[in-house]
Amino acid sequence: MAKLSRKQIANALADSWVSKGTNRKDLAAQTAALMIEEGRKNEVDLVVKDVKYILFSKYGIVVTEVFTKNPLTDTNKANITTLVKQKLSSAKKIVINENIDDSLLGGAFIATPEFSLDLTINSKLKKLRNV
Amino acid sequence: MNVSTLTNFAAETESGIGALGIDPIKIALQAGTFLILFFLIKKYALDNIVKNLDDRRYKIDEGLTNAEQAEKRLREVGVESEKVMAQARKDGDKVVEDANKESGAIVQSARDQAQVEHDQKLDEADNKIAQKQKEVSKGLKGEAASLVALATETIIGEKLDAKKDSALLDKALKQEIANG
Repeated sequence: MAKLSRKQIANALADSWVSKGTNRKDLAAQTAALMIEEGRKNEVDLVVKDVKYILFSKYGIVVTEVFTKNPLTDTNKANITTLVKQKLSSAKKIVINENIDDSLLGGAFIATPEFSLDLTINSKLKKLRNV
Repeated sequence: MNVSTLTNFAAETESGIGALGIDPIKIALQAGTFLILFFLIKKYALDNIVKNLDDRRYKIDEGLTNAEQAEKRLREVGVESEKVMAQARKDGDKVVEDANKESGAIVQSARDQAQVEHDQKLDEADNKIAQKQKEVSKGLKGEAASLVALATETIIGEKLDAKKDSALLDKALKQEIANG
């Protein structure tokens, strides 16, 4: 059986992910197993990136990765949603994935398939050092 | 005829012209001798003498003419040399004047050039000082910024709790939203 291309896998994953009744955990596990079995472990990150892009371009779902030192509050999430919707007018739904990063002093790093925004204190201090 | 006869004859003839002491025969002989001598001289010497005299006179005349011409030429040369000298003096004066003017211009040009170079060096020095000041200022700013950053980092590490962090994030997000 011929190997599926990365794009085919990403499309299939994106389509399944939005289908009702899909167990997303199982889907992720099955995909990971497939990639490992085919010796394509290195492509996992790229597939995930492709899926996010397809979800946005095909379904208007924006998967937003947010890196912070502390967990986000509801207000934080609401503001992030507003900001992403403002920047991506075609976005219908915003999904926020929280990532705790202890190396950060404060603030947040926001990454979407279309743009990224660095609001961390670390970057502000770095700019200050480069003055 | 013997001698006595001739003596007698002479004594007898002393009565006419002979009485005056003039002997026509002698005169005739002398005249003949003179003519012969004259003829001989004219034939063999006179022409050459006259020719020599003519040549000499010609040479003398030529010499005099040449001397006159030379004197005239000398006068002309004198006048000419005066003119040449005057022209030479004039030219010399002009050369000196030109040289003075040129040297003045060269000195002025050198002064101007020196002034320009002096100004340029001053400008360069000013620029270098300004650049140095800028660098020092930049270095100080950078150092100050680093110190501020370090201090801020330390303070934030110690003082920024989750609540304050959340409030700061909200503020930053709102500012981004306001900026569009």
